[in-house]
Amino acid sequence: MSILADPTLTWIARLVLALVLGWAAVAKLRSLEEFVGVVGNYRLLPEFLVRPVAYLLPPVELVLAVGLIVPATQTPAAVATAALLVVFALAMIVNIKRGRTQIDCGCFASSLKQYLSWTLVARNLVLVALAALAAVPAGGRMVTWLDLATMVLATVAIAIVYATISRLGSFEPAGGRRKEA
Amino acid sequence: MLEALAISQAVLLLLVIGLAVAVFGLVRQIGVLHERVAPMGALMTDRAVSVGDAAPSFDLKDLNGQDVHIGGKRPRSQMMLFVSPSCPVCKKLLPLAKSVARGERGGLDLILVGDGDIAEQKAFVEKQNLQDVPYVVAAEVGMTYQVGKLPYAILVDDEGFIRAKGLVNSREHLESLLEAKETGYGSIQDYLDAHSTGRAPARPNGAAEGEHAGAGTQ
Repeated sequence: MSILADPTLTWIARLVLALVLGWAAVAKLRSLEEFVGVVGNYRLLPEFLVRPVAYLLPPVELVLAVGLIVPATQTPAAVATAALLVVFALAMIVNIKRGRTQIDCGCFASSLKQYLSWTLVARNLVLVALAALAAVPAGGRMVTWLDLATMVLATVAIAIVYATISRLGSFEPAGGRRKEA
Repeated sequence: MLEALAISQAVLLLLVIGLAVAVFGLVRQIGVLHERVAPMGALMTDRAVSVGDAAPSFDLKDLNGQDVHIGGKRPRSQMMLFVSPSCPVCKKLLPLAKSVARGERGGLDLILVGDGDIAEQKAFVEKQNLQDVPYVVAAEVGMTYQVGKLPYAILVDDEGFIRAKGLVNSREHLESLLEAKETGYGSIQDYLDAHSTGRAPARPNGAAEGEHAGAGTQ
């Protein structure tokens, strides 16, 4: 579809993903020791891999965030972002199935505590769709001043709405959370 | 230009949907809030123990089978630290707690309190090198002291009274509990209240809820 290849949409998708990844990486780097525990809590990796993976994830996210903005690397970065988000979603699904919903998602490390839920999985799928949009090479339409305004303003607005909804998700659900040891 | 307008319009509509979802979520939270503040009938909502009270005592055995006594008259103060293997902040805090306990003048007995599967707790002790610290697994302690969030610390003095307690996330939080014991102010808020109004503390160990840690709640 031609409208999905519109340069404005593609750019908005790239900028929003870059912001989300950048924010996630910085939040993780600021409490890296805790993030090691968060990765361990998922109980998916063998013990000796937990620390290397926890140290590796934030830089990878940062590199992807930059890669999404640099024109030469946009498509591969978008594909890699989608892959990373799918891996995260799978890790969450496994733990939701195990009933370990009391652990912190760790998406934004300790600056935003989010418990695992299907909502988070759905959020990741929305981000994957955004990454798919970002992977499309921008079409040949001329970019006008209105497009630039749309790109910048929409990115800012989407980022704020995203942060708002994330924070809403970090509240405990009604009726209290059942405690699991 | 027309295409640019169309795209701008489409993005705008999507944003409106996003905002609508956010507003719906907020409205739901208002409902939840109403539910939480509503009268709860027979449910006791007040705290079981507060700062200044005698600490409810327990006779327990730690994971090594050694006797551990909580509360009552003792030669040294005690600090109970409520932890869990599934709490990342706890792992960060454990070495800090050990060093704070070692550095305290007059000595301080650190007791770790866990809850849940024994095998899991033993693996946790093994991994975090906690063999030299008494570690008790007893849900009733946390229930009696009404510990809701981890890691939570409770300081009991040598006379068996609770001197400070609160959610602890950092070395500063731990030290603030010990500070509370030395100054007689249950929390930094009590101290500031007493000093900003120029009056002596009405209740030196009064109803402090360890709110200093609340600000750092993650």
